Amino acid sequence: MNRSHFFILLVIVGVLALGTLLISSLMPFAEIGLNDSVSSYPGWLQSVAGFLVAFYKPFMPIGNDLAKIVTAKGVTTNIGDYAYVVFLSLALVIASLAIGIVGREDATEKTVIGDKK
Amino acid sequence: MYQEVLKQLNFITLEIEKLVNKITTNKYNPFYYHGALPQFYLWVLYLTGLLLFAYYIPTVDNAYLSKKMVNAWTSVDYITKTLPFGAIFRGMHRYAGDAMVITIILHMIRVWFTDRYRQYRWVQWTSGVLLLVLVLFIGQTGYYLVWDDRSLILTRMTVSSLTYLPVIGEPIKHWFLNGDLISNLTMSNFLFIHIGLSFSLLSFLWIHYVRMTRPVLTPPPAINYILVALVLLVVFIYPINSGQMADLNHQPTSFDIDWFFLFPYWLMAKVNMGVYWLFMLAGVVALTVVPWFVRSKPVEAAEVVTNKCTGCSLCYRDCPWQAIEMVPAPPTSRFKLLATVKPYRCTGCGVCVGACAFDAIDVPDLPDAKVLDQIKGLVGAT
Amino acid sequence: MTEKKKVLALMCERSVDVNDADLQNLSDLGVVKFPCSGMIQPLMIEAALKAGACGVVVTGCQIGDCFYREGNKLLMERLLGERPPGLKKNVDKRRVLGLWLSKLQKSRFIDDTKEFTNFVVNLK
Repeated sequence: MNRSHFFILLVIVGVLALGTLLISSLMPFAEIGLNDSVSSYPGWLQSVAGFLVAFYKPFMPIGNDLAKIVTAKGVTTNIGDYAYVVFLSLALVIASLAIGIVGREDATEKTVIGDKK
Repeated sequence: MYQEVLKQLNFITLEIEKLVNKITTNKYNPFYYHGALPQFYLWVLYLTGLLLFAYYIPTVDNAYLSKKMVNAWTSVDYITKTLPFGAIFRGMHRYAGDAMVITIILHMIRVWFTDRYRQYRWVQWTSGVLLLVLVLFIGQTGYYLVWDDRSLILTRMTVSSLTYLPVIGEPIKHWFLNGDLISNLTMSNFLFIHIGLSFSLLSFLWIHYVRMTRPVLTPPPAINYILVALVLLVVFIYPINSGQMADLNHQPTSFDIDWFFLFPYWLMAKVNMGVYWLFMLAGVVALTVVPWFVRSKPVEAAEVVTNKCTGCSLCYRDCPWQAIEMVPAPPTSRFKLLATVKPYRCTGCGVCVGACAFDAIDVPDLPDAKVLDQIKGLVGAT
Repeated sequence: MTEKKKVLALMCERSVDVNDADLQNLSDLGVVKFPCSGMIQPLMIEAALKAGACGVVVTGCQIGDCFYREGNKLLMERLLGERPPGLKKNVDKRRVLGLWLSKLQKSRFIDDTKEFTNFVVNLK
């Protein structure tokens, strides 16, 4: 593998890792019920509440859409949990893609042992 | 004819796997971990089940509901509606069960199509059929535990199918209901059957694995993540709601069917009880005897050349079938140990030949000397 | 026996399946078939090289898909020296090639073998 390939791979894996981080950071947002009301945050988070609200603001519509899907199916309580599950599963899928891209280097169809000499 | 069809199916399997290999490479091809997939879902089921067990109350009592008495249905309702992430864990438990059945069937189909189910693998096949039946039964008992309308109708259908059986039917029914009627004792028995049998799976899995050295028990993490993610997405797409609480004075007439676990009840509703039992028994027996449909050439077991064996136990370590045992060498030998082959486990694959640096073990079909002759014949100096 | 082959293929009969027509194409290749690649012993590879072969190709199924469970993996580890018995130190390891291919990857096998043959024949 030459340098530029390695660089491209690094970028892809980096993007995937950031994606995992971003999506999993939405999990607490789902956990407090997909809203930006500071009062529902646990005490230790209150201090950074302003930052969190600004961060979650763009994701409000996504949260509302997810909530709509499950309420249509008869779910009445803990709707945030369902959104949490979606974020978690997306994070898992992206993480597994990232692991797979790094790990597929080990897969082999050919063993050349002379290289070591 | 049958073997021709299987041969074609083997090629189709190989084609599909080749395609998947292009995307995932052989390291992440789920088909190469087909046996480990249901095993992984079993761990998921144990963990989610543990949480549900902590909050589940196995009673049917609903006479004192006005006094906030709890029973099985209300405890499940509490888990689903109030407990944080309770609904998620309940959904995971349910859908991981379905996923386990799907992966078991995938596993079964793959070993069948790739011809890995007969001869020396008969122990794995028959114990596998037993495991499948057990898993299906355990899954059904899970549906009784929710104690909604469907649970009641399933329980009553089971009871009527059991009473149909002569002689053994009555005692089995008594065991099943833990008495003659549905009562609080019934529900604790259901819970015991559900959990007790789940753990008994482990002992049958031991039989399933016992002839294999280093069985593949866990897929790589990248596959595990996908397996969990799939279950989570289904939990989101099909959230679970209980039906009405079961009422013993009321006879529900229809229910939603889970095709992975409840298909016997569909059959039971369609045909007469005798036909039902005949069909179920015939199905299990037919599955069990699949390995003997094909007459196979008996395996010629590997043979140890006693005077060459140094007792180094390399073959014992490498044999993928636990077919080699190291025994104390006879007193005349210079060495401490001697390899012996258990012929009923040997597959004739020759891995032991490859592991032996002293030419001390041979497969009768293709002895070492013959291989060396062939090699020299092909490349040797003239 | 006819002319001596330059390269020897020790093949698992469940992996790539070469027939006589393919061998016409690969005139430098001699083939010995095994029930499983796990049966191939480093001593056999050494014997072939000692007897005058320029190189040895070893084939097994895709890693992860051995019919006899792990023969191909064990052989791969032996070739890499991670599992006893391995190749002796004095063996020219450049002359050994392992290919892990399914039955359907015949063209890949032919290509790789040709390339390998060219490589080892010119090797001094």
